[in-house]
Amino acid sequence: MDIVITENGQATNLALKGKLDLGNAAKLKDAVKSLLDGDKKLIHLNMKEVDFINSSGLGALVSLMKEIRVHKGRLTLSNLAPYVNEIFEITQLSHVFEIYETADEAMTSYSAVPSLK
Amino acid sequence: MPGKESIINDLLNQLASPDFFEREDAVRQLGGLQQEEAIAGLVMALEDEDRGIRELAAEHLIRIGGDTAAQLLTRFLGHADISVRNLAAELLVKIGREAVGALVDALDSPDHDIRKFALDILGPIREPATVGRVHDMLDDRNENVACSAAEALGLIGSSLSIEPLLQAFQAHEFLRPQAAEALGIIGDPAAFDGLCRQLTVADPVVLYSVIEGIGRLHHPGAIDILAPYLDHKEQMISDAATAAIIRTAHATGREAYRKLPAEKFKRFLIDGLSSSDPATVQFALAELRYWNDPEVIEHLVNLLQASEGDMAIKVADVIKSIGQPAYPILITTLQRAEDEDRTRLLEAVSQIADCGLATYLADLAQSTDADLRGLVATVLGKCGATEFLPILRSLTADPVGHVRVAAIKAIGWVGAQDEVDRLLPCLDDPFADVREAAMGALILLGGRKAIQIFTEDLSHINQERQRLAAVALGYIGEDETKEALMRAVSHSDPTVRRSAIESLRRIGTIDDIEPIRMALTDEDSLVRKAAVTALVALIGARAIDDIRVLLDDNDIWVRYHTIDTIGNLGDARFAPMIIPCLHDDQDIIKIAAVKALAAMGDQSAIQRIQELSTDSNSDLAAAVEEATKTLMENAHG
Repeated sequence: MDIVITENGQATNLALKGKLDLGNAAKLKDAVKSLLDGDKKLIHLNMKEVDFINSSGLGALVSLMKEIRVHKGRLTLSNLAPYVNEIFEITQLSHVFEIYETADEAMTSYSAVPSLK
Repeated sequence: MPGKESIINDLLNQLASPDFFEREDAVRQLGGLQQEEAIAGLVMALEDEDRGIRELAAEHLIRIGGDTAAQLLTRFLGHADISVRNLAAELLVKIGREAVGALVDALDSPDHDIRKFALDILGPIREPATVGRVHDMLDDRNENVACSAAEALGLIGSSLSIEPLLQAFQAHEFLRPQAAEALGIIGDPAAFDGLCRQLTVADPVVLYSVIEGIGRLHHPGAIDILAPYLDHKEQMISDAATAAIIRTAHATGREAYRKLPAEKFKRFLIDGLSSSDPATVQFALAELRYWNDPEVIEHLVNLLQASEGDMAIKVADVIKSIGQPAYPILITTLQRAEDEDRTRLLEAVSQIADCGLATYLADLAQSTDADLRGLVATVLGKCGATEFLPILRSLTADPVGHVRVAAIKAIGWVGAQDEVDRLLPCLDDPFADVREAAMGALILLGGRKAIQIFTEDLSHINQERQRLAAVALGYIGEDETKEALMRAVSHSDPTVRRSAIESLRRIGTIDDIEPIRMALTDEDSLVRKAAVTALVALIGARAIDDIRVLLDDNDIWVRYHTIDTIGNLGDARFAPMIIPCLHDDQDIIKIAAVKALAAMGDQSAIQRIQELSTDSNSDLAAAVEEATKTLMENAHG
């Protein structure tokens, strides 16, 4: 799995590419752990190019969410492919994660309070 | 062949026809001509008695735009019929910068209404080059025109307008509120000193506008200057000062809030929750999260009770930020709430994933109210702490089905592998929702134990368990599940065979596709359809030689699905195998073939498709029209 990390305003955007399964879950966990260690607690996972996720991948996402919560941070997801969406529905994780249709929508949700005009 | 002029004249005459369709046709044709004479006709059609025709003409005018259209439209700004006037104004705003020349010319009109409307339109167009001309209008002999000029300058937002607006403020008492407001909207701190000098005015309406204007400049000096007005005898002045100081503090640093009396700030924020301005509501929500105050919490809980959707999520998030002090009030309100309030509150509280709330809610696990027990399970699950597992376990045996569903889902979310055995009996629950929830939780927990259970379930005595197992193994998706799924493709039950094929398609990488290829000849049509989808998903166009035989399948839906699947490959090389389907006995197959050929982009198929264009089946004729259009568009790049 490829992970491209970019800073985008207040949140850190991780664009994931490839399969999210047992073999790759550790790589994602390590990437997020490094961010948390660097006090970057607002994390967005852009899943646009994740074409496969299985039970190990889901488990990794759940444990990341818990870890981020412990650090008083926030985790958002976006661009769930139809298959990924399907598995989120079956497991009802769609009710647990904060999911946006696009990365832009997710990033906007992190933006600060609008200025009062 | 008639000349263009003659055509336009005919169309202009046609606009006067008593027949709606003739007039509508004339507008459409004029819209397509894009000539000045045609624009005049479209502008004329804005006065048509039928709203549909007026809107059609407007649509074309916006598309054509340009100075000519704008010049003609400005004449309508003085129209006696207010709906025509408003439509012209709306069009001019949409035409935008191309209309500026015509609007500036209209400022010389002897009709004060036209001058005023022209200014009302120039403001939203925000063209900086117009400020000089608009400055002149501040001295217009008509007061309404001068006020519109001030408003327009605010919207155009040029710092060059500061001095003219301050001079107009001094010169014309009637436009003081508009001038002060415009200076605020321009928002340039350079106007600060000039506006502060006007704080001596006696008229409370003007003073209100001046204070509000100062608040919008985000000048750090505003806080000390406006502080004395916090205790003004007029409530509106005091409120304006509070709002202005908050705006300034918001832009220059939160520490400035300390200058405000806490009670006033709190009141401002609470009032802000019911503001019609979304930015003010969001600001109030963002600030209220720092208030641990029973009155604030009560307002937020009441707001939560009345909110839905995105707003409910935001308010719930603020309550979560306040945390422990808010939860007892939230829970008490929840217990008292009735009907729709209760439903909304249950939904909103279930969004709060916080162990602090879970701790409070845990006590309600024994409530006689099933909705509350369900909520407890959901919040405990979202919190994700293993310490709540004993409560969740007990709720999996709740007498009410939806509570069991919530508890089972929650155990999955907590991710406790040791719970796999406990969830097993839930697969035999009398309620389908509970069985599905158990499958979802077991997929989420995954691991060897779950794989073993589902693999064994493929030969379970209960057919439903067999089907759930084939589905679940696909979603668990580990390498160990593939072997069991491959075996299940030749299971005795067709629903299991189909689920196994769909699961293998989801996993996507399998070493041996032979069992799926064999399934193309399965006795069950749904299995054959699943095999077509899976083969194409697994090996793409290489599946074509295997699946093409199903174009002659005796089941109409297998044929339909195969045509559709081949069409979706988008490869014109496969068109010859679809073309014979255009002559199938069944119209639905012909429609599928037409759509597939369009998706393949095969230009040579156009003629064959069009042979069906006169078919008596309107769905087929419509598909032919759509497909022809698609193929022609592709042909023209």
